[in-house]
Amino acid sequence: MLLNQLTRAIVQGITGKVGQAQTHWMLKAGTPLVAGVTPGRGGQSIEGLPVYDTVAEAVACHEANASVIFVPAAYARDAAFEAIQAGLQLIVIVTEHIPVRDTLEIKTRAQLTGSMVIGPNCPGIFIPSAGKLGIMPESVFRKGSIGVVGRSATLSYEVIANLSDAGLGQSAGIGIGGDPVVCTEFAEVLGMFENDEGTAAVVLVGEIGGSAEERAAGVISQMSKPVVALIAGKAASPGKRFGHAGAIIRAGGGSAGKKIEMLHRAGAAIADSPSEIPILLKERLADVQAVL
Amino acid sequence: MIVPEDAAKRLLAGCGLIVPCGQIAESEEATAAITQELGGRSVVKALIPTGGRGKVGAVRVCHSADNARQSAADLLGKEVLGHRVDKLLVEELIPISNELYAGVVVNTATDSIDLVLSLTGGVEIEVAAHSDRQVVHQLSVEPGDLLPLHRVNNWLGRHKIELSEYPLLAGTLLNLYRAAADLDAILLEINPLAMDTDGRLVALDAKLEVDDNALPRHPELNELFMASLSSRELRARQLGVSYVPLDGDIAVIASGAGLGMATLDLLQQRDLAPANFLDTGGGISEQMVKGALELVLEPALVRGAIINLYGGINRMLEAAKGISAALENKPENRPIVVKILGNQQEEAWAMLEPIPNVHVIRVVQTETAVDRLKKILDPD
Repeated sequence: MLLNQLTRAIVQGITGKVGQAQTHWMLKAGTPLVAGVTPGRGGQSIEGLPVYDTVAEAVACHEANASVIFVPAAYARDAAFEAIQAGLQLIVIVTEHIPVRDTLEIKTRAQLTGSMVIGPNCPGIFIPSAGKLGIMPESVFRKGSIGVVGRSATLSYEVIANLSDAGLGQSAGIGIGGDPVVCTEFAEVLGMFENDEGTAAVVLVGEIGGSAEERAAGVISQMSKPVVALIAGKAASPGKRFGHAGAIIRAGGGSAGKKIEMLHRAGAAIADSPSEIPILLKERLADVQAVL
Repeated sequence: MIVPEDAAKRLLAGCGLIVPCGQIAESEEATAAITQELGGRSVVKALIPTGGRGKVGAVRVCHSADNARQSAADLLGKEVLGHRVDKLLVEELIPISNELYAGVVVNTATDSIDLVLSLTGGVEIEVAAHSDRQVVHQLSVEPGDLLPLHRVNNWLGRHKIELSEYPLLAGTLLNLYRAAADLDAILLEINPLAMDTDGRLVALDAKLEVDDNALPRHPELNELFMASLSSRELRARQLGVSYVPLDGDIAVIASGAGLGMATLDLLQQRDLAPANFLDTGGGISEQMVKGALELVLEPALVRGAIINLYGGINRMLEAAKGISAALENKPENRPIVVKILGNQQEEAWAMLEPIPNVHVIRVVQTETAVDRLKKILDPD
C-alpha cells in the first residue's frame, strides 16, 4: 500500500535542517529515496543522495515518482505545484502553517492531474518494513495488520504505541494532517485500507472541527473490515482554537458529540481513550474470526 | 485574526469599496466632537469583534452631538456580548434606500471560495437564511480562479436579481471577492451592504477574518495582529508555542494539538478541569519548555500540571532540561506529572525523577499520568 518496490521518492527541501535530519531517519527506516531537490543547491549531496535544482531533473535522472515536501510554508504551494507538474503520483506535504487558500489551490490542481497529495501539516505515511515518507517515529510501530489513519500526529503516535504495547502491529500509519483543508481525507484512506490485503482492521483518530469524520462515516457504513474510532476534543469549548487550525468548533457543526454519533451509527466502535482502542479492536477481530 | 471593523473598512476602501467616513472615540467628549464634525448626526458603534450588535443596542443612530454623548455613556466600559467596550466607531449617518448582504467565505466543506449574496440584508439575514434558502444566492468559485466580471453578471442574471443598479452591484461584488483574495480572508462579510439615496453601494459594516497562516505575507497587518493578543498569548508566540486559556485549575502542556485535546478529555473524565492548554508543536528546545512551564504555572489558581510529550521530531532531553531549569529557578510545591516518550526518553526520565514534586510516568498510556495526578490532588 502506497510504498512498494516501484516507489522512487525524492525529498523537496532536503538541504534544510528538518529536511536533512528527516532524510536520515527515512533512509534508516528503509525508504526508497533516490534524490533531493533544493533550488540553487544542485550538485550537492545529502545523506548520500544527489541534490537537484528542480523536480524535473530528479525525475529525468532517477525516474522519481513520489515526493515528500519539507520546504517552508511560504514556498510550499510552489513546491507542490512543481511536483504535480512533474507528474509525481504520491506527494506528502509535511510543512505546517500553509495558508488555507494555498492548500485549496494545491488540492484543486492535484485532482485535475490525478496526483495523490497527503497533508499539509501532517506526519506523513509509515509502512512497517517498507519505509516512510514523513516524520512518524519508527520506534512506536510494530509490523502487523491494523491500519491507522489520523489527523493529529502526536495523538496518532500515542494510539500506535498503545496498539504496539497490546501486541497489535500495524499495516500502515497515515497522518492526513490537522488543517481545516487537507488534500487526502479520511474517506479516501479508509477506502484504501478496505482494499488492502495486509489490513484486517482500521483505527480512525479524529478530532473536533470540520466535517471529515462525518464524510468518513459514509465510507465506514460500506466497509467489511472493523473500524474503531477515537475523537479528541470532547472537553473542548466551542469557539476556542486548539493549536490545529482545524480543531475549532464553529457554530452548527464539527463537535465531538456529533461526530461520535455519526461514526457510531455507521458501525464504528467508539473508544473513549487511546488505551481502550486495543481492547475494542480485539473484540471486533474476534467477532470477525468467529464469522469466518 | 479577526480584524477590527475600523481597520477592515480602511483595507476595503483601498480595494475600491465605499465605506462611511468615521473615527474612533474612547470618550463621551470625543464621540460628541466627532458627531459635530460629521454635521451633527452619526452612527455610534461598539468596537467589539463580534456580530449581532444591532440586536442588543450596541449600534446607535444619533441625531445630535448630545444624543451621541449619551450613547457613548451607555456603551463605554460596558460588557456587550461578552466583550468589554473600550472604543467606539463614530461614523457618518448614511441615508439608506435598501439593505443587502454580501460575503465571501472559504468553504472548507466544498473546497471552494463562495460568494454569497442576499437581497434581504440587515440583522435578520441569519433567520432568513435558515427559513428560506431562496433569498440567499451562492456562487462557488474554484480556488485560484480570478473570477471574471462576466461570470458575476451571468450569475446575477441566472438568479433573476432585479436591481436597478445591476452593473454597480456586479462591480462591487467583484471588488469584494478580489479584496478577500488579496487579504487572504477566510471570511469577509458586509452586512448591511447598503444602497444609499444617492445610488451608491456602501459597506456599512465589515467582518473580516484573515488566515493566521497568511500573516507573514501581509506585513501591513502585523501591528494589528500583535495588538489583538493578550500578554500571555504574546509571550507564547515569542516562545513559538500556542496557548489557550481555559477555566479550570490544571495546567496542561502537550507536544501537539490532538494529544493535548485527548489529555483534556481524560482530565474531564476524571473531574479535573484544565486551567490552560499549551501546544509546543514540533520545535522543542530547552528554552522553549522552560518558558512554557513558567507560563502555564503562572495563574495562582493552578494546583497541578501535566506534561505530555512525544519525541518524534522533538528531542526529549531538551524538554527535560527545560523542565529542570524552570524548577531550579522556582521550586514548585504543586505536583507536576510528566509523561515523556520517544527520542532520548531514558535520559529524560533519569534527569527528571530526582526533582521534588515531579512525577515521571514511564508507560505509553496517558490515562496513567492523569490517574496519578488525580490521586495526588484528590486522594479520595
